[in-house]
Amino acid sequence: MRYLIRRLLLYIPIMLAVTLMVFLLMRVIPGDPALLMLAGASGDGSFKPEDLAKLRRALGTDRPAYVQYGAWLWGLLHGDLGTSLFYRTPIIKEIAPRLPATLELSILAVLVSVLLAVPLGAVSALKQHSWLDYGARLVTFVGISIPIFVTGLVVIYLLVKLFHWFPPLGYAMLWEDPWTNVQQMLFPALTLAFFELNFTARVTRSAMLEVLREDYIRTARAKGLAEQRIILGHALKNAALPIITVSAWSLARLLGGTIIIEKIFLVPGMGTLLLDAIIARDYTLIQAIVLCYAVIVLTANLLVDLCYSWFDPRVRYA
Amino acid sequence: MLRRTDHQRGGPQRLTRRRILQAGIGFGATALSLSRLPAPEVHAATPVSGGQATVLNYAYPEVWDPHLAGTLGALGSISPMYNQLVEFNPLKPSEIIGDLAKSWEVSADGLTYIFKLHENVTWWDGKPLTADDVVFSLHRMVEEGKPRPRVGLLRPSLKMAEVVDPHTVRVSLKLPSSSFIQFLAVDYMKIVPKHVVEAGVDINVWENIVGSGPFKIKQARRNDSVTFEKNPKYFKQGRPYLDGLRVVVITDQGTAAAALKSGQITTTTAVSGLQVDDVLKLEKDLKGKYRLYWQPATNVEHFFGNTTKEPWKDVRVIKALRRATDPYEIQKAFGSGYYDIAAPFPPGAWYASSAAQLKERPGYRVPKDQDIADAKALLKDAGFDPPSKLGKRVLTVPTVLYWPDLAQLWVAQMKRNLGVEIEIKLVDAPTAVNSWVSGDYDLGSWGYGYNIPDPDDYVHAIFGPESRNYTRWKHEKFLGLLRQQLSELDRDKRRQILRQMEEILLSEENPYIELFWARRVYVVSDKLKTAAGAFVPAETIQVMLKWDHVWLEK
Repeated sequence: MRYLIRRLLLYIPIMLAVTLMVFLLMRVIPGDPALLMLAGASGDGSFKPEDLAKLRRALGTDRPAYVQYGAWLWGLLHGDLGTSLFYRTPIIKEIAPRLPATLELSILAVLVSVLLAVPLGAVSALKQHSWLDYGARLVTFVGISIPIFVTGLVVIYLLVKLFHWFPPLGYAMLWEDPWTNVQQMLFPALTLAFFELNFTARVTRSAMLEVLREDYIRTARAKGLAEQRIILGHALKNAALPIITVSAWSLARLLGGTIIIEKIFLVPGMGTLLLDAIIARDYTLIQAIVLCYAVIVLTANLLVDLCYSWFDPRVRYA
Repeated sequence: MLRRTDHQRGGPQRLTRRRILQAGIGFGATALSLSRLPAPEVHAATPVSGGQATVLNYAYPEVWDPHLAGTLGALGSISPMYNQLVEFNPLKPSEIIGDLAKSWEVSADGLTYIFKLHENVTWWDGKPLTADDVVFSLHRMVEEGKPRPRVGLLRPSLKMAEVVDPHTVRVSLKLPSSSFIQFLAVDYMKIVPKHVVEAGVDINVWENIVGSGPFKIKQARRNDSVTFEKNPKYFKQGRPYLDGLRVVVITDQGTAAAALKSGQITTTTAVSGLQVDDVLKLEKDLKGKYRLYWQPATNVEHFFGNTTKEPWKDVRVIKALRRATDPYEIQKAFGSGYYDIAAPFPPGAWYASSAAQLKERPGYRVPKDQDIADAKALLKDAGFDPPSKLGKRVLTVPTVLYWPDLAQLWVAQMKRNLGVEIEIKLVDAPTAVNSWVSGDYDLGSWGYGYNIPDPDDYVHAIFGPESRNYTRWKHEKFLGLLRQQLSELDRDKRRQILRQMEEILLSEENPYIELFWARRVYVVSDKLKTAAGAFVPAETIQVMLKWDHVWLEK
């Protein structure tokens, strides 16, 4: 429990550092939310210099940076994520409908990638230097090398070219219309999973190779245990620690990947919201989204750490 | 004496060629003639009810209040929910017909309009739509000190509106204006519910909208889609034909093309985000399923100098650069042959020179040698001999659409033809616009797409004292003529004045270096039908967006 509390307390400086870094980065890059609101992203709007000054004052972006950051932090301490500079709506109202889509996409992708990558990596290790091994390594190498947006566009191209099919337009939540949701989420999740499974498969292979050379595996075989039990009960369980660690990193990487995949597959999740917020220089919204991402990643890491003791009883937390 | 224009409400079975032609009679001097598209042939067609259409638009609404809206991104989703007093005839877009108004009369001096409203119009909440709502909305559109990006176009002409009886409105103008009724027909000019707005309800929030239009909003997901359902109490009998409408936003061009190929898009708006080359490729791929419908060229692109700064204070300098610009090379490089040649006024418009006439003018000569010699002479007279004495100029270019490529081509022309060095400064679009607004630029690059084909929109915005004249150019004679034509109702006399203005721009002074006139295009499924048979494109991007006149072929 003390370990858990210590870890949770550690969240605070980490999240502060993350938000501060994002805050500073957003101020360094050129752009102005007031300008965007008046001119429009495509520059269609027309306005007068006094309109711009008035709007900057109304948004509070004319205040010194430290005042803006301080005000945002103060709101956060009171449980208020703030108001979106660009949309003028409470940030919670922007994030709440989008978080489920991104979580659904990420969890699906992690599940699919783990379910495919672990057997692939394990078989590759068990059949080392076979054609199966070379084939699996080639696939994972190619998979790692292809940028995720290329995979996404290729998937869409193939769907349309071969099947004249495209996921239904107009996003539906899982609980609103499950069948439409499945059709909309399946291919982006597979695309993300393909991106991720290559890492996991490679880690699984090397972890399995290492474990398979351990003395206790040789002992188990000498005792006459069934090969299936040796692989599943001993080798895979002992190789699980690095796989779990990588899976937690996967979530962090996938959250990054969702930004572009959501855009390509028209999933209105946190990724597209973040992208739009960056384009609109919506500082408060960007900070809030990054904060959410930080919480998700830190929590995933914490859960992984807690899992270690279950997989390896030698791991104990003081 | 009042001229009368009747526009009886009725289903398409009553919509005949004669009726459509009649609709334009009262329009008289204000009838539009810019269209160089073949007039659509009106066939008797039986509408089919049912189905849902999906419209691809380039952006999600940044606002929901029609009077605060300034972009097609917003209008594409707002327009189906409200009505205007009048509208551009979706079957013959050069005419204006009644929307909420069943008829209107114009006084002989052109200063008073009397609109008779349909009597059976209700808001979604069941309250009747009356003259009170119309008067309230018209005054709201021109309210001083409030941001009115598009509806503010009525400010120069609209003086006041008053209720005559619950279904009659009298509108007084500041000056006789042939463009007033056209501006009123633009889709931004929506009548909003007085009782809702006065109750303090924010109609800039989609959940609060109470409209009268053919479609009621069901759901809006930011940067994804807006879903509408049919308004069963819509006052136009039998309309809308569609049970539902969905406006989707796809900003990635590859994804948009894929969605079109899969057949999920019924139609695009005129600005879908797809570039000309993409739509031409789609046309080939989708032959027999989709067709392209081109609008007239309504969007001018140009480079310009800040005429309050050196060296552009001397108009000979910008004239020299314009003379040395090769408009044919630019036209060939962009728009795949669909863009019109560069010109101060839209080539071929009723008030402008045709492309053939322009060919005879300096700046358009082939070969280019004489134009280049003239340009050098102009620069010499202005004290820049050789032209390189102009020094290194800076051209601010927004990183949108074709602008960076366009800038590169032009800069190469200036180097080749005059030896003038120009550095390209790339910035995002809002930063670029801020440079134009603040005047903090040397050379700029931008364009303007007009709302209505009347020069009171384009010429006024670009060359007049309006905020879109980023050049800060003022020419007393030109401005005098501009004011003179504004209140001239006789079309021939007006044309003469406008041709004088064009002559000033072509031969004397013009703060712009025009590059081309761009067209916008709709990609439309062959299943989408209208009383005219096939889909009929609007003349500008900001009109005919209610979709109450279309149906889907079974």
